[in-house]
Amino acid sequence: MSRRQASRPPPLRQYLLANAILGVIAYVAIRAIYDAELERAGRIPLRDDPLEWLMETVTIHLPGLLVWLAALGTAAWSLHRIQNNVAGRLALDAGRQAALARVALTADLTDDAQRDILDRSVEAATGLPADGASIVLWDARRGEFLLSASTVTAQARGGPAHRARPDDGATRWIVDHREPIVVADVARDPFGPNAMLTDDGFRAYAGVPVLFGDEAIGVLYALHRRPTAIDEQGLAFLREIARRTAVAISRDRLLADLRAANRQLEELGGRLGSILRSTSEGVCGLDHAGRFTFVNPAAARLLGFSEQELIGRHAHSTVHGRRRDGSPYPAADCPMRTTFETGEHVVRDDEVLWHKDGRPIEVEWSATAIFDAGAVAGAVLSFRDIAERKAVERMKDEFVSVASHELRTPLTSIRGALGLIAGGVFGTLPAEADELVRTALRNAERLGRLVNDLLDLDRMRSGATELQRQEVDIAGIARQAVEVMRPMADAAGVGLELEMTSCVLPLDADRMLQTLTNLVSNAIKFSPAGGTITIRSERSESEVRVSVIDQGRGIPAEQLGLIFERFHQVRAADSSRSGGTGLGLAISREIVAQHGGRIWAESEGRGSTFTIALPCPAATNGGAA
Amino acid sequence: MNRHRVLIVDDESDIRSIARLALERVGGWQVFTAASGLEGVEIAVREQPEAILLDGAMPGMDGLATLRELREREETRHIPVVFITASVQAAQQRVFRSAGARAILAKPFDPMTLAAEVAAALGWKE
Repeated sequence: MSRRQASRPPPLRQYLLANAILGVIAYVAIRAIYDAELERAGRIPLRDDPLEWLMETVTIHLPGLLVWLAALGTAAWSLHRIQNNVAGRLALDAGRQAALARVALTADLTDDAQRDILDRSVEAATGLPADGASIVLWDARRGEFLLSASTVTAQARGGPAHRARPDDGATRWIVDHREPIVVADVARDPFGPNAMLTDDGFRAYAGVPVLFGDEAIGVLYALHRRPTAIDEQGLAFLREIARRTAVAISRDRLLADLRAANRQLEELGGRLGSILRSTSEGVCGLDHAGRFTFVNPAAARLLGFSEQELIGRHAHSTVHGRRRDGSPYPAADCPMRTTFETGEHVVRDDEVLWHKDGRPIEVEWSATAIFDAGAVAGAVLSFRDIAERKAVERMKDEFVSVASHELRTPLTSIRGALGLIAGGVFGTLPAEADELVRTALRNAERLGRLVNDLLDLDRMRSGATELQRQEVDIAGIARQAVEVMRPMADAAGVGLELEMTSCVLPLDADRMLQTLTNLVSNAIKFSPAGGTITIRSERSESEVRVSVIDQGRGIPAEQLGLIFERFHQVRAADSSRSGGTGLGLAISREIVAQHGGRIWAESEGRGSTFTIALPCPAATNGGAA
Repeated sequence: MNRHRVLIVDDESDIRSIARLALERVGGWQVFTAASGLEGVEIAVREQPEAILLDGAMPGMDGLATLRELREREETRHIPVVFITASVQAAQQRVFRSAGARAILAKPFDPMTLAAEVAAALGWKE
């Protein structure tokens, strides 16, 4: 038997018991009358023979008695139902209705308002009628139940719940089971005696959970000074108060959250506003039709308009309507359209915006789409003046051009003079002098290559060099590279082997030859005498791979990713002897990247493999080279 | 070996002398030199060399202007011009070619092979 059942003596049992006792008394009385009648008629009652008496009673009188008892019980049950349904409902008087109405929501909900809700709730609960009421709510911050409102003692409000709460066990049980408890007499409280209650003079209580959805956040108690079992209607009333309390509290919390969120939004808005006002970057908001809806001060200043002048005007035609050369720039060609059509982020640094006074402004601008319900509702256009950066770029280009000339001119003299002497134009030098002149010559040549490589790389990086593509056979280029490098390989005692398959690709033949020569030259430098270098091609659906495979000492794993960086040379390589500039692989990488390909190195213990992968169109020929 | 007659135009005296040595000693050619475009045109008119080796960047009348001047004049119009330039930028090279340069050689050059390279560029049989 559960605690709840034990604590609620059912009224029906009392009625049935009373009826049964009544029935037995009636039967005994009738039986006595019946026996007396038998005696008077001269028949001997069976009283003296207990067995026969019992038989007679069971066979003749008991069925009648049971029918009678059943009729009595049914009558009692009906009476009970009528009492509950009719009398009970009549008892829910106007006072209760008024009490429920008091648990209404107040318009202005604050912390005080929440207390007000609770106060109204406990007040309403006394309309049961009860002698007192309390609300105990779970305080997540403190991790305990708190007495949040009570009609019993105002001082107890906010204090630890057990001060005026019937029983910790009861609250916990109600919250855990989300079901009410009725204790008609605290002397028989299934949760044990509760001194706090009895000290305050309470003898009975009923508690219902305060539910937030499926979660119980506390308990509303009705308290009685005399042993009282609250009836179903009273319990329903108490539940209704608890429900309204929960609704009121949840709405209050919701409003409080909303206010906090609003405050945060306002703060954020304020911060964003000050950022937008203080940034030197021009930031504009555009609506779906590309009209200005917002212009920050920097944007207005850079464009020479006032914020009011721009708002509502079409952005493209107002500040972007002409190209750099002044020719019309149709809105249909504006890259910003991509943002409006696809939501893509667009960044450009090669276009100008037009100042109000008609002069072009060098800017880097970007357009970012604003989405509303999945569709592009507008865009944020941000831009900054890059005139300075452009000027620096021009200066750099100029410097590169001047430096190349200024460095090459003295180099031409040095290299020329040394070349003539070393070439024996002026006769034979003593052996030591000859060696020195050759060293000087070698280094002059190296310096020349370094200057060339540096300028080459710089031009490629800045996109100043274009590929001169034509349909060429990669196998032919590999053959050429081998021919070029043959003397160096022979001198080093290294063999070169070609395993190429013919494949025609759109390539810049000179650049690709430069790359392959570079890789073969590197391979020779790091190959031991007697070693072999293999140049092999491999074809797949989408690309052609050309690998240069050596049998050298390999590349440490941690350096594999670095060797394509500028001036990175594998340690311990004698660069002055190898004559490398440290730029060969960096240049190779740029060339391959310009072709839309990839280059990488692999090395496992002994030997290295450098591979170039070049994309190839679907239909290209094959065949042995 | 043919004793070709060529004119070197370069504002750098060091380079003039290196190129002269390279072409005279290695190539066995006859070499005239000029220190400016103006002087170059003058000598070209007077000496009628078989070819002119022109520096790209010179103060005053630069390589391109000199080439145009040579093309303007009746007396020098037919003389092939080879640029020897420190600028290897493709755009610049295209400009030289479209102005009528027969070949473009890069600085620094190898003095031991310069004559052969010029001869090859001009289609001379050595």
